[in-house]
Amino acid sequence: MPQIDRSLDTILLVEDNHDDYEATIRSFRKAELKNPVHWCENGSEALDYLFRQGRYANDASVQTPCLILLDLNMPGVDGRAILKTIKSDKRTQSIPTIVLTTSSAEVDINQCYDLGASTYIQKPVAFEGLISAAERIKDYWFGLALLPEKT
Amino acid sequence: MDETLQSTRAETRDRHFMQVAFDTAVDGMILIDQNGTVQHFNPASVALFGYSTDEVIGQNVKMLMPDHFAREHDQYLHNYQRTGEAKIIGIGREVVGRRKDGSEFPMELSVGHMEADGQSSYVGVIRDITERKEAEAHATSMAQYLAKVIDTAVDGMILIDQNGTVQHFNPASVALFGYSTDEVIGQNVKMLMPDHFAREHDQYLHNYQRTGEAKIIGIGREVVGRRKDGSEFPMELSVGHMEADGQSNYVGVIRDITERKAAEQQREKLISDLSKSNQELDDFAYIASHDLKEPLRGLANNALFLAEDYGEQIDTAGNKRINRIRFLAARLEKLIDNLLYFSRLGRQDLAIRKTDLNEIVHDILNMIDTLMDEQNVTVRIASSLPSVVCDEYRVAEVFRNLITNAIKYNDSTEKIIEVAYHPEHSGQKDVFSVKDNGIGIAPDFYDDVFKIFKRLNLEADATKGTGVGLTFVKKIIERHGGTIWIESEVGLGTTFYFTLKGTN
Repeated sequence: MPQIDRSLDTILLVEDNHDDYEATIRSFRKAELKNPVHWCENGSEALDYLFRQGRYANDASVQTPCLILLDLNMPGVDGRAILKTIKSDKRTQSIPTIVLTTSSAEVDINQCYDLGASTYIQKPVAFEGLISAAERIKDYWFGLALLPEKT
Repeated sequence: MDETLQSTRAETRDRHFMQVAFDTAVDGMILIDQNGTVQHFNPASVALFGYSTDEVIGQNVKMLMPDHFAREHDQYLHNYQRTGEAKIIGIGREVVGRRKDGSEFPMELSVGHMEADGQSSYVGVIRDITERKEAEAHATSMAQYLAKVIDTAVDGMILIDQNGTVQHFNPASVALFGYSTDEVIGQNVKMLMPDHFAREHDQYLHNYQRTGEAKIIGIGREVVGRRKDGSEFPMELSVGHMEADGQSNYVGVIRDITERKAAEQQREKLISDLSKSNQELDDFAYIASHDLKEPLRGLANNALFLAEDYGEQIDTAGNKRINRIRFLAARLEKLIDNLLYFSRLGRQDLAIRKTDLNEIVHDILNMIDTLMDEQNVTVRIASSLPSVVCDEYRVAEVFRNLITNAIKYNDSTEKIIEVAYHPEHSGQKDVFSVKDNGIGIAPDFYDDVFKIFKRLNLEADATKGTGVGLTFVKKIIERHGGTIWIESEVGLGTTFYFTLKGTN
């Protein structure tokens, strides 16, 4: 099977916390995960981006992401609602979606997998842990795993 | 054969019969003359009084009576002969006899009067009624005793017949219901019940008599009573069924459980309060895990990025402060994690199953073998450990904490740790112990060591614990229904003892 270069595909990062956003971007850099990252600060913006609506309605730069990193606990439309929408819409349901959250509550973990999350990762508190997580995300999703063709 | 001879023969036969009867009678028979002098004293009398025949014949019969009877006997005989007024003669009554040894016994005496040759004689027939008197006395005292039991019982006791009519209503019932005995006896017991119970009572009694189907009888249950003033109270009622003289009767025993009910309600409220506060603790734990950790992580990251991006522009002292911020943030995170874990330890169900403790301890020793080499540690398992029904992971945590503490708080050149199982120790069954030759703990601190975040020793930042190990240990042991205690001598070492319920 030919190896497809995905390093130019967009990763969608849904994260309301600026510090976490910054730390995540920095960890990607350190892990040499070079894909472009599109950052949505809240849930409704993420849905607008994914379905090219609202402020993204006529934005030619919008790409269907190859991977979604999703925070769970956000004000307004939270990660669970986004996950549910993504996984029940034909246009987006095949996009691997990684839940990245501080919560390690069993109820959250179970619910996310029920809703169709590809992976559930507890945000490492120490930055070193975050770098290591980024490295493993890169190895797994951009090395080991084969992803669906974009439609 | 002439008539005289015939009549003489008949007389002889009769006399012989009388003699045999006299000699073999079970009852004592005594013949006295009109002065009270004993003429005949049969073998049964000998057995009754302990006198031989010779000792009595010719003596006054008074010798067989206690003094107060004896004193009146002459007078009595005299009166009877003069007036015919009989007190015993031809009647029989219970009197008291006196034996040769002076002891007295109750006897039934019947006396017959006979005239012969112008002389009055009297035949006394005597039966020892000691046993009968004792049985009577016992029955009387038993009846009195039972009556007293019923009258002094703290519980109400009510006797009803098969129609529900009250036959007996004891003083405790009077106190409970506020009715006097007279107001209740002869009435239907329904008057003591609230309407909805009363309505069903007849039917219930009827059903029980027909089918034997019992709802209370022989069982007991909580029902409601109604006092004379109309107020109601919760009571525990047990009913016994008794058959006597072809009649069914029922005895109800009643205990006022107002206080117990109030206590139950109080307890239920406390339990509900407690579960509410547990829920709040749960919420708090979640808040601690998420909302507190998020800014903490931002703080730590910003300190790191500051060092990464601007470290070269800041001098050594400034960089030291940045590192200090990062260190403290990491420590705070650890504390929060521990607090969270502690609250979960208290709430989460244990994963209970049969666990081989030998395996657990050996696994721990394998995990820390490098540490043991470095620190010159010897761990002995003093006796083979049993299999225990417990949460394997948590109990392993107990042993791991106790063993690593035994190494950590130990300045002996050769650190010796002993893990043991005692089928019995200090009056407790199935006791485990972890003993060390470490620095020991002063008695003042036996309680402190188990408190969360409490540390007894000044430690370097790099190796400093958060002071939760023994708190977790204690919590885990308590969750297993066990206890933990310390024996220690400063400078010599410490032994932690603990139990786990469910050891087998």
